[in-house]
Amino acid sequence: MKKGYLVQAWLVLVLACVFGVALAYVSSFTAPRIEKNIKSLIATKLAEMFGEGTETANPIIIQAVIEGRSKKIPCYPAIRNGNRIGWGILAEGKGYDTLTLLIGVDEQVKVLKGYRVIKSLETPGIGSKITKPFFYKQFEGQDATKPLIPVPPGKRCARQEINTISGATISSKGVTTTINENLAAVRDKLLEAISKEGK
Amino acid sequence: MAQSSLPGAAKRFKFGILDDNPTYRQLLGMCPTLAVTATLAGAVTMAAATAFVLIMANIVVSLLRKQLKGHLRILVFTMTIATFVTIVDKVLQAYYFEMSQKLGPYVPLIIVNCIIICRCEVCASRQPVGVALADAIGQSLGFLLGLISIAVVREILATGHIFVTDTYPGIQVLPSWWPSWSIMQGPAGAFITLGVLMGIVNLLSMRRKSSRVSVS
Repeated sequence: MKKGYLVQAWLVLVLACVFGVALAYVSSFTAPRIEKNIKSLIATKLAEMFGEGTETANPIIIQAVIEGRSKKIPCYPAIRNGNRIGWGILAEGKGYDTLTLLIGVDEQVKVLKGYRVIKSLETPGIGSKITKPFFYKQFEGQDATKPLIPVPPGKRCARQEINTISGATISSKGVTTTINENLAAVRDKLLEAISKEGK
Repeated sequence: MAQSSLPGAAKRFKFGILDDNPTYRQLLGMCPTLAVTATLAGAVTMAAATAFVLIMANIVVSLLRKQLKGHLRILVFTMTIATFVTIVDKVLQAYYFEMSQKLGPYVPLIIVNCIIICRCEVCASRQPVGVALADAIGQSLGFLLGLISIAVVREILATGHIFVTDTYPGIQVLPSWWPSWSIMQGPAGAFITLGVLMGIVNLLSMRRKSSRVSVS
């Protein structure tokens, strides 16, 4: 019996190694294409927030600490007619599950242009409503230097307040928290990077 | 169970399509069946992804069947299935990005699709590679049939067209005055369509059975 268990343990380990190598091989030729696809998606989402004809370029990578963890946050420039008009900050956060958002801000990181969902595993039909215009339009024009405050659905919103989605409070609050944390972590460093560019 | 009492390759293949259909007979894989059948394109992509995972998992498990004993077999099944699902997910993200975005979490959820682990347990872990392969292909075709049957009904009633994608408006099936049944695109429409089609399949099966009994 003991010998049988030992044999099976070796089998599991060998399989784990073989499958690991197979996944590494697949990743080697899919990873560059996936990155290219995501970049193309980011350009499309930037055009939605900043207007048609908006393009992007290589991002500035900001090293920031969020919730005690060091993270590299790419900030994609939004470019129209050769001029940079804003930024798309690729932010990761947590709703019901992991969220990846593109946060649009103006050139001075003062005004929020909104956000778009790049990747989301929120519950379809419930948390997935964070991708709908009725929710994300609330974020447009808000002050990017102050935190957003989630309030219950139906309540009349003051400045900086965002109505959460009924039945999807966790996902809605996840979006506001992700935006607040990433903007707070990135703002000063991004402005510093911009001023260094100018010199 | 004695090898001689288990169905052979031809029977496994045939049963998987109709008699043992995973959607209408076994009622397995209900989550993707309801979630991705709003469009025919999504249904076909999901069926293809599931087919790849099912076939590869059955082959690997069948090759290892003599080494698999006791409680560790479920671990081996899960590891095998998860590997192939990850491969399919990466390939979809790389080469069919828009469809991967549309299918969202349902591609990684193939890992917990009961059709795959069921076939590993019922067939692949007990029978040779040829039989396991035939079983996987049969079950895949059965799953494809199930998804397509539901997707066709939902897409036509919801949009009046078929084969609708982001870049192609689809082929018009219903006249332009047909009001779009948007309920068919949501969960309610999925359940209603599945229920009605399952009722029709059961009715036809009962009639077939009773006509066989009356002939004998």
